[in-house]
Amino acid sequence: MNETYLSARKKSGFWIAFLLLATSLGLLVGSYFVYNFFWVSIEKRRQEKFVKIIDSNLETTNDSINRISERLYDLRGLVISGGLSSERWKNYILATDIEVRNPGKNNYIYADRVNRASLHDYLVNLKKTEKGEQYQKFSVFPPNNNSEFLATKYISTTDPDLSIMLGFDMMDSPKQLVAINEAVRKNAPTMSELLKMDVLIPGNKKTGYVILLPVYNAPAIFEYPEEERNKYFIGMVASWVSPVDILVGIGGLPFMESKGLHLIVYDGDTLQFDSKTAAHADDEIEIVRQVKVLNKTFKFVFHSTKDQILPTLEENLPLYTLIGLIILNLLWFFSVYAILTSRGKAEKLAKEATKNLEKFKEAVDGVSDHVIITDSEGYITYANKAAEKVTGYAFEEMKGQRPSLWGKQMPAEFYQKFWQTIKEEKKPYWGDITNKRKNGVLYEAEIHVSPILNEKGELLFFVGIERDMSKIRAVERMKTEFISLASHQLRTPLSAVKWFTEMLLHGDAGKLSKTQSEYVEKIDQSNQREIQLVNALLNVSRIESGRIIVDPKPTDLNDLISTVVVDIKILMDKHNKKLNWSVDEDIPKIVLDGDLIKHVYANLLQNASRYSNDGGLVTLKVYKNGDYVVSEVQDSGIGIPFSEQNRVFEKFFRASNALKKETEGSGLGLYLSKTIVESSGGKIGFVSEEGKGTKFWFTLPLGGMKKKEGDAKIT
Amino acid sequence: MNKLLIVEDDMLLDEAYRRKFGESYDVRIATDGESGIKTASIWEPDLILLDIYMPGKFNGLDLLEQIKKNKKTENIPVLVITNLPDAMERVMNLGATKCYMKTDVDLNKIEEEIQDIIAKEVK
Repeated sequence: MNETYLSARKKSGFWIAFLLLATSLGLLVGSYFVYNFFWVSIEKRRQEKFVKIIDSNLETTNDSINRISERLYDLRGLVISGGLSSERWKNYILATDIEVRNPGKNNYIYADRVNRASLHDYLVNLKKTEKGEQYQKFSVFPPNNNSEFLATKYISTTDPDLSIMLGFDMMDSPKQLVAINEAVRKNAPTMSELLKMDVLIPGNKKTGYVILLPVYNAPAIFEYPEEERNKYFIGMVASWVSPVDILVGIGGLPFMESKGLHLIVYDGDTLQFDSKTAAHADDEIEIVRQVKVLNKTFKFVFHSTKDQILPTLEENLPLYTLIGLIILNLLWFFSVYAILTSRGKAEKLAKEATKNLEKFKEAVDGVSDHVIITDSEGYITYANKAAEKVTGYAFEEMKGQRPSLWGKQMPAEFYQKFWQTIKEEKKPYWGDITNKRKNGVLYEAEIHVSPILNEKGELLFFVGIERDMSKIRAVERMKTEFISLASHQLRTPLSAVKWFTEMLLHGDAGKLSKTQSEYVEKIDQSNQREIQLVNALLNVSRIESGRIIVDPKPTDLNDLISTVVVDIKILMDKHNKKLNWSVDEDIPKIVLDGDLIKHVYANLLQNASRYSNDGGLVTLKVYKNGDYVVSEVQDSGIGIPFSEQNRVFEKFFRASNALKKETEGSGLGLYLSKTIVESSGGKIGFVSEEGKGTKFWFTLPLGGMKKKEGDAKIT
Repeated sequence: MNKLLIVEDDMLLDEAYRRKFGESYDVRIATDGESGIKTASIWEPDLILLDIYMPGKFNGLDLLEQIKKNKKTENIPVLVITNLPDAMERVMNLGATKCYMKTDVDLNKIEEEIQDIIAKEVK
């Protein structure tokens, strides 16, 4: 794990979080635009719908006017063709589909141009040709002083108010006169100003337009200049239309109202029509259209409240979109949140793992043992600080080199075996080695090299641990040397005493008197005790130094005990003590260090004999119990006082009754025995009753002892 | 008279040896390894009694090694009488005939051993 990698991870984490947040933000903004788009589109569609309504309205208006114009041309033709009567007029109107198309809205009239001079003749003639009652009463009204009249001769209407117009002088109304003059000049259907019915019927609120088409007595009136056309003008066909009928489209006012529409129509600046039947508070949309209708240009002003309702789905599309977008955003945020938190968790874990790894690296860096890692070919890829310190080479110097950089001090066989073990057998190698520091100084080390394998058992790399043993070895050597020297120096004078006393006793210096002999014997005995004490002390210190050699060999316990018993027996015989010993036959040879175990048997038998009364019996039994061999030494001696039993294996401890009974004994024998037994993988213990005797037992594993290198032996 | 070379630095022990064996053997005493090697090579004793821990350039082990290297001396039996228990095994490996701890034997026992070894040599 290196730092660049870690910081790269941190960096990439930051960028990922940034990207996620950025996309979330992008999605939000996008959502806003989408919503807005839909909303705008709805607005637009509403407006479009509104415009459509308006367009269809205006179209209807145009259609109505066109139809009326067509009828007027038809009727003019009828008039010109001659032989027209009120009866035929009415029949014609009925025969055409005018009524069918616009039921209740058909008001057509024909008016004759009559000079004042010929008015009388005209009326007489009319009464002759038209038999109907109304024609018998026919008069031109209102009475005025005009030089000519345009008297309504035929009228077919569905409006009872209008039927009174028969005989009405169309020229009497100034507004109509303007339209008539224009129509005559242009020879085209012409629309009058808005007229009010109250001119005819006082109090009547009805309004309407008159659309006029002049009738000429010249067949091709369009060939005549406009100003001359009046000469040939003989009458007029016209239609009365209500403003609602022509200005408001299909469905009329109720439809407009249902759509929340408000229509105002101006002729120039003059208000012609206002559909305002109900109050609409927020007239927010206003559409103005200039429309040419015949000779007139109307200005249509449409107002609409905002709520031009579209079909439900369409109308609610922005809302649905909004809900959809909110859900989408939430989902996105949640997933981003989930990803970020799970990522956060993962990162936390990774961090901890990394921390652990870093700790681990720090630990490896910091341990006092030299640690190196090499690739499978032995080239160094890592070395800790201790490795640098021990070898004297900096990691940079070691990197890419092999550990032979500081090695090559051992015989070739050593390295052969070493590589054989770790590379061919792929097993860890333990061993002692001598290496050379960069400054040329040799040092002793314990090495432990482990091949690291993958799951398939292929070699990945090696981890080598080297412990600089120079100082430890030096200390150990000093310790052992001290013990050896102490052992030597203490024993040498004792040996001299021993040898000379024995020469004395042997009579080498002449025969001794009885008393002299006794004294010298005392000296010899005491010296012997001194020798034993020194031996025991040295053995203890050897064992405690840990440098004792354990050299186990397959051993027959029967043989081993025999050699011990020989010496013991001599002592026992002196005091008339008996020894019975037996080793079960089924006990195999055990791998153990006979020199060590001998000490245990010797010590236990010696104790048993020493603390038995004269003539007492000591029994040694050796038998197998499970995975162990049990050795029991039973005596019938003084026993160990109960209160002191827990101190029996202590160094230099001697029981109070033992001290009284026997001056010999160092207090080290059982301590040494316990140490030997336990370091051999066995256990030692005893059962004792004061005054009756003691049974000591110890076990040894059938599996045997482990070999241990060292440089000291027990004597 | 059989020639007995005693290599022992301790004067008291030397005296003990001399008094015990001086009459029945031709005894020479060397008190350090170096003179021991020289004497062995020149005098060619029948047996060497050897101590291990000695002052000077050569200790008993070195002496044993040298003697066993030298064709003239390689067949001389060496009885090691020492107080260094740890050296016993090495001594045997180096070709000593027997090895005793000084505190475990007395001069009578040593004499028996000497007689045994010489008797075998003669055969």
